[in-house]
Amino acid sequence: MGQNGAGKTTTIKLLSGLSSPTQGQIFVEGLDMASESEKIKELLGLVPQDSGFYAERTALSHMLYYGRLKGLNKKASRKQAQLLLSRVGLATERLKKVGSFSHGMKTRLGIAQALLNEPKILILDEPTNGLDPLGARQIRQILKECGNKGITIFLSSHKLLEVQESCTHIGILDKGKLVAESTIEKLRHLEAGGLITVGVYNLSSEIISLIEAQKFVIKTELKARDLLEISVNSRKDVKPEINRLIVECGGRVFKLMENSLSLEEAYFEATGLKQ
Amino acid sequence: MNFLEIRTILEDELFQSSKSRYSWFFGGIFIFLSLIAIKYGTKIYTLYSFFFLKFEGVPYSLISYLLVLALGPFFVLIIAFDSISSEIETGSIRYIISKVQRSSFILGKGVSLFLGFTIVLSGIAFICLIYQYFADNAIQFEKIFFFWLGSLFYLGSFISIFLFISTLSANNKISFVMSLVFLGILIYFYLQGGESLLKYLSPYSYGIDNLKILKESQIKTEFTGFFKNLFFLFLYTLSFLSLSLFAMKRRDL
Amino acid sequence: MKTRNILLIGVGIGLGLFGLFEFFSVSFTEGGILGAILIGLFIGKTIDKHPLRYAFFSVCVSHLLAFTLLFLFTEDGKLVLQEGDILLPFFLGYVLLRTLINSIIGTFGAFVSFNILNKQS
Repeated sequence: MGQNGAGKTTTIKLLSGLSSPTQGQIFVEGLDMASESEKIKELLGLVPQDSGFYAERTALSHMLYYGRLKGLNKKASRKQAQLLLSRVGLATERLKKVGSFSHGMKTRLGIAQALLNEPKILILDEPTNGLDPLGARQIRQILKECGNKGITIFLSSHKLLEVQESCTHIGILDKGKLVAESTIEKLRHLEAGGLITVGVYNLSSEIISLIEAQKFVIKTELKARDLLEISVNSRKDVKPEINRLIVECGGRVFKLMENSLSLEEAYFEATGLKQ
Repeated sequence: MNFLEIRTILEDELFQSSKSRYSWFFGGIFIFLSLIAIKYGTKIYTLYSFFFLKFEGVPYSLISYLLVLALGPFFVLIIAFDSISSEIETGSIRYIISKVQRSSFILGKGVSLFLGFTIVLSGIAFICLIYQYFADNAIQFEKIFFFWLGSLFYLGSFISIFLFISTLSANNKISFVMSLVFLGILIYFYLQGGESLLKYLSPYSYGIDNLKILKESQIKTEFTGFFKNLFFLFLYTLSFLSLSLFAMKRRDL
Repeated sequence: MKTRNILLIGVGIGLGLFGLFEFFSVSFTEGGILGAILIGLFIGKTIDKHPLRYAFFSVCVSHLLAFTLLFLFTEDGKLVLQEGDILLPFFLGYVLLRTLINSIIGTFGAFVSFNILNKQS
């Protein structure tokens, strides 16, 4: 994730061998890009940003050509091409010239060609850029399916919704530097050290003691007469448990919320930018 | 370098060119012009007989070679200038380079262009043979073979030059202009002539020198010179191809 | 380095080479072309933007300056200026043509070095 010019595309180009680093080393799956780039290429499937296909060729012809370049024989290439085109929903358009394709269809073809020869890692550079909501949703769906099949998906984006929906881990780039890298939960402060605010009309010391006695509670702090802030240390969502305890003690809960950051806030916090 | 990758790119290029109206059109024009030149060769021969003094019969292969010398580089320019730059301009190169080695890509493109022009030159050589047969001339296989070989090396050097310029260019427009500029520079270098070393920097010099073997009735006398020129043209091709590979390896795509 | 400085260095290199070739009696044609190529390569290597136009300009300026100095400060040049009524336009045409051709060659040199060093991105 990162704003325009942060270095997302450069990172992807470096990882996929389209650019060479001026300094430093790149390792993909433990393989050094400088000496084992060919082995790395076999592991990767790349969907570059705004890259064109040959307008005069059909989708199937593209797939056959790229399949052959990936080292498949003609028969295997044809078989995989048909399979992947139907997986990305282009089976009926396989004999149409790519020049007549919409942006979304081209992106789907891009994903299909990247999946040839079953890569371990699929790299996508802003795949939903310039797509309408439906097109973007289709792409997210395809990516989800790829993820379920065990393919690692590495995508760059500046769309927070897309990232939140599709990713488990996030790296935030700012002016060419990786300023944060973690799981979404950690970035949003949802994991260890989260804060929960609970509002109870008849908040009593009994209720507070009961809550403090729980294992997952680190400390509590009374913020107002009826407002308690609870520091928790748990990977689970403990809000239902807190609610149950209070209700069992006769408390009437009017507010129960996590003081976590939204992904947008987390992004601004990491980059040091003002919202 | 991976031969399987080169072969795949080569096959695809040839297959796509065979379907392209553009390549048929320019290849056809080239063959058609040589057909015209051969057809009116007799007239040319009569008008400029002083030029062909030592020749026995109508020098069809020589006339074809003159055509290749004069127009060949322009045809190579038209066909080759966008071979790499168009892929860079549209971004389609990224899909290819993410799968194959850069050197395979350049070599595949270069060899396909080379093969394409081999086919065209073979067509011209075949026309020469047919004309010799119907004009009741003695069929001079040797001369036609020398025409074919000399033209191939000569055009090969231009293919590598334009491939190099195409590799350096970010789009077709730049590639076309720079190819034209460089062709002009090569002509200028050759025109310095005389004792100037510059003329040896131009493939024109070696190509034109090879005229001798097609003019002489006794081929053997020019044998060494011919193969020396072919060697220099080959060196020329090799150096520009290496430069293309070098430029491609360093390029951000 | 500032573009203006690179331009000046380019012109300086051109003048230096011109003097050197004149000293070693290398012909104008070969020396001029070699100088233009070297300036072009230097500018393409050093500059980050618009190398072609700067190379053209550098070669052009260095050639014009060199020929002007040649006409003003050498015996042959003075002779042409004083006595060469009819020859003068011919020499001027020669100078301009040579300058133009060499500038184009220098531009090509800059194009090659700029792109081979991968500065286009």
